[in-house]
Amino acid sequence: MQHILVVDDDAALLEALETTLKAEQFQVTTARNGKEGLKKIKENKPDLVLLDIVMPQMDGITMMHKLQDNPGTKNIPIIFLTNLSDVDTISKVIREGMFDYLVKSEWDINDLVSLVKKRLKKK
Amino acid sequence: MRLKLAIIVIAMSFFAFLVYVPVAYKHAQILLTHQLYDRATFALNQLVQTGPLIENSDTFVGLVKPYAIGERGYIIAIDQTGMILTPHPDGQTHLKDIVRWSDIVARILSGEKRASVDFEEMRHLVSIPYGPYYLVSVMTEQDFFDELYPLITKSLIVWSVFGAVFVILAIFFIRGIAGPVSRVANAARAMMQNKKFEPIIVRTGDEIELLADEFSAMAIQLREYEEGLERKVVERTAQLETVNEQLKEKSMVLERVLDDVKKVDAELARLNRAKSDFISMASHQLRTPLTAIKWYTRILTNAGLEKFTPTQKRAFTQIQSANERMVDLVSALLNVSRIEMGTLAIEPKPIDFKKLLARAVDEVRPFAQEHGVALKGEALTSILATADANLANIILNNLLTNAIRYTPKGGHVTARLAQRKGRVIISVSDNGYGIPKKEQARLFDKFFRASNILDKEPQGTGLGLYITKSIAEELGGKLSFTSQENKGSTFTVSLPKGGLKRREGTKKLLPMS
Repeated sequence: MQHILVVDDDAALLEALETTLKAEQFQVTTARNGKEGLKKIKENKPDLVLLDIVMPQMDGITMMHKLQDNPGTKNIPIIFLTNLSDVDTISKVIREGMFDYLVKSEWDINDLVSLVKKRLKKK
Repeated sequence: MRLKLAIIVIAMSFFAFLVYVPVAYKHAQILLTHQLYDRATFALNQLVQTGPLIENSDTFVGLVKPYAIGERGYIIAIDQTGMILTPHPDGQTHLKDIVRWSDIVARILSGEKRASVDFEEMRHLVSIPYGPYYLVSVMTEQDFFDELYPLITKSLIVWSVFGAVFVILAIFFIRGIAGPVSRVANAARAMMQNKKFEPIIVRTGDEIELLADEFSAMAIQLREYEEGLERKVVERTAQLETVNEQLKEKSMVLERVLDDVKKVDAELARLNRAKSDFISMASHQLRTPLTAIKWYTRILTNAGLEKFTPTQKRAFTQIQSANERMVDLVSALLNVSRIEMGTLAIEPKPIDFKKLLARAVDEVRPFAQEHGVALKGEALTSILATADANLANIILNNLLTNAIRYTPKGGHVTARLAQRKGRVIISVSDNGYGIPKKEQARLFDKFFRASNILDKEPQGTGLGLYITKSIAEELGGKLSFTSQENKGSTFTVSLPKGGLKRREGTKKLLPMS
């Protein structure tokens, strides 16, 4: 069973993602911010991380850098989730690291799951 | 003037003197000659009374000597032939003398008693008969002139004094005329050069006094006029200063008002920014719960709606649809705030509008098919222009989507491309519902939705045309329309083919369906 870590500070969105992914037969771990996310990764290494950007305590970009700095976590694929409309500045950072990203409000959750599956298959 | 006159007088005097000298000389000569005649006549008469003279010619010279005229003068006796009977003072009798004396004798005989006969250095003065002879008094030229010169000198002195007195009198006379004239002239000059309007008093009792009086009257009048002018200048200056002060005050008031306006303007700009920021923030905050609703409705659909009653299904559809509208509205609001904050990025690039139009038409074709509307794009030639492809596409997309949405099934929408006077003209025509005439003026207002489509098309934020028009204007273009209710509308956007300036900023506008 493939393991997905979902990091988002919004409980409702987190639950929606967890529910949907579990229904699609994924093992799902959730975290409410970057710090917690890193802790969860140490406990149980995921196959993919769905990562929100704007979060309290530690944002998604910082967490991504931490993962990049660690050889053990460096190769875990990340899909960024954002609700920011001015994605220009953030997307620049993300594009440089060749990550997928999507704007939550513009995406159907089914399409999101499809993207996750596609990304895992590529791996 | 005075000097000139004086020179003329002196010159005239000098010429008069030059003429006078020979006249005085002649006059003195004549005068002296007459005197000498009288003296000689008197002396000869006295001599005759002294007794016989010629009998003893040896003593003659000594006898007559005291009666001779002048220092070197002498008296001789001649007979009727002119022969000198007495010894000549120099002791000789020359033949030529005899000839001369005979001439004198001839004149004596003809009755001429007094004759001024000049001969070599001699002057025969007077002859008187003495028996059968004649006594002749002779004066030397030298003695004559010796007597003449003092006479002339005296005469000249007298005349010179007289002349000088004349000159002095003449000068005084000239001064009498020229002085007042000069004063008038000087006063006139002073008036011209120094603006001194002094009256002058001349008491000559003639035309000059009259002239001076007229001049004085004029000077007084001019002074009054000048003073009046000065007073007026002073008054006007004071008035101008007052007006100037008032203007300064007004300009200060204006400046204050302008400052206030600037402050208010800045405050308005700040408030507008704050408003846009607020809308932006609020919209962002709204997006997360909207996303949650969106995803949970999808989770419900995934689970299957078979257990829902028709009413529940209807309620669910309404929630879904309202949520979609809400997402659109929030996206549109964010776009509006971006445009209004002026932070929209503009990236000019050369674009072929024929391709751009074809792409935009293709993009909305599924939507047109869904609505049962015939869609057609007409572009005869390629039109190259510098534009922001993304923004131009949003404009076309919005216009086409609007046209399709507000055209009933079976209608048609046509997009046409043209160019005119350096501008790209794109028009989107439909034969749809149109906009009621009364509402046309408000078409581009934010949140405006025409009354005739509210029940037909509940979707729509009322921000699409406002955003479209704003983008067109950001690109230096214009958006206009013509419309007739139930006949259709034509929206025309015209964009400049060149001159679009690059602007850094937010690149993306959010998609609005």
